[in-house]
Amino acid sequence: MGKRDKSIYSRILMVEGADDLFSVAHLMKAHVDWPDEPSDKWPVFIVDAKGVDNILESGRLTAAIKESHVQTYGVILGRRPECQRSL
Amino acid sequence: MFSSLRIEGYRGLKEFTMKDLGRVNLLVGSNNSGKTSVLEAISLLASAGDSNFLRRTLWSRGEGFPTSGDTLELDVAHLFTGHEIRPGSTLRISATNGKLSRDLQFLIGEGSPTGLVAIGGPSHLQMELKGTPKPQVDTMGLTSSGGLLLYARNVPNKRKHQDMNEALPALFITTESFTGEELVGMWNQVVLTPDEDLVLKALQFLDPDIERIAAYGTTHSSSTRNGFIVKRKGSTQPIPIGSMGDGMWRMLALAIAITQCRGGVLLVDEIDTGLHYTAMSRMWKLVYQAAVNMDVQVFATTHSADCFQSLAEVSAEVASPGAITIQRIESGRPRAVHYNSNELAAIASSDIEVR
Repeated sequence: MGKRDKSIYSRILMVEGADDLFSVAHLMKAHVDWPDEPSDKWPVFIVDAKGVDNILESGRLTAAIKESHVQTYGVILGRRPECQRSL
Repeated sequence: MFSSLRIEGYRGLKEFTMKDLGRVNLLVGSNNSGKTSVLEAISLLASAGDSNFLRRTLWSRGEGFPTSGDTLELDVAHLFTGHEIRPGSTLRISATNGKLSRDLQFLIGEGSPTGLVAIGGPSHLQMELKGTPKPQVDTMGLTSSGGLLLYARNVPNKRKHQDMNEALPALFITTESFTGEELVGMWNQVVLTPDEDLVLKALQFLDPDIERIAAYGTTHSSSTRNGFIVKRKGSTQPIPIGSMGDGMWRMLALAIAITQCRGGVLLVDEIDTGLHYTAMSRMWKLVYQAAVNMDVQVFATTHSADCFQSLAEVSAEVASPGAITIQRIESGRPRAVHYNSNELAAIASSDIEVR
């Protein structure tokens, strides 16, 4: 499987940006079986939201959760006062 | 305009609800999830239970078989969930528009409708329409094997239902689109009216050099794409639209059809058929604006990512909140997954998969 097609994953994790994506991936690799190449064996597919604003955009999360292949959706957000207000 | 729809016992839809409907509604979902059945159900409801329209629905799906002579027997069992009927089998289609509710029910009865002869087993199909100014009841006799007879020479050749009192203007564009004969018939009601410009504009989306459009009769246009020619800029010879590709014919059908459904519903199966992805956004803008101007409610289906993505973009760009929705139908699930305006805006700016 050469292409990162997230529609084969039922577990999605959304993070704020590329730094978070690599940090979380490396942290998880240290603790769970996680093949280097894209694979349906990945325990979760990590989505880079390209900015916290995109996560907090009205409708973004609810639309993402409704994706037909999704069973579990996780979000990692850094604590910020503006996030508290938005949420 | 319908704000919600409920279907019980129709084809694969044992129990199904769609809510928060908008002016333009795109139905998505995997194969065999029931998208086309939902369109059919809406068209039956709009037809006010027109028995000829019901026959055509069965006939167009190939759910009949020849009997003696030039008679076809249509198997009404296929309309009912499970493909089986017995006395008491029921299917029901209802829709609300604010406080009003339009309710169509088909019931399999036994014995003769008058009760004079009891023969056992399914003997008739009773249609009951409620929630309209004049409630309707109609009874159609069934054969001993539960069939509805259709004489071949009377095969309903119009996708439009008859103008019954309680019927809403409605057209169902299948993947085969319309024949030349059907389109020319509709075009004759459009030509030399302001709606003619809409049709020309629609074709110009695909070919800006088209200057005029004309129909040339229906003699040879019963089952083909005959019947229309266009004049292109710089060309002295008229060009048959049928020779200009699937997309052009599809756009012609869409534009003419929407003018025929004022105050009613337009149903389009696989609306993207024949259209290049670059034309999708213009097609949706045309459909949305025409639907608003003509008070038409549109229900369409697609399998195409370009199609839903471009509708999401049009929703974010030009539509008022709630006017455009995407509804995903999943086999066996009793409610459609509804995407609202905010969610459509998010879909337009991301790679969210709605199908």
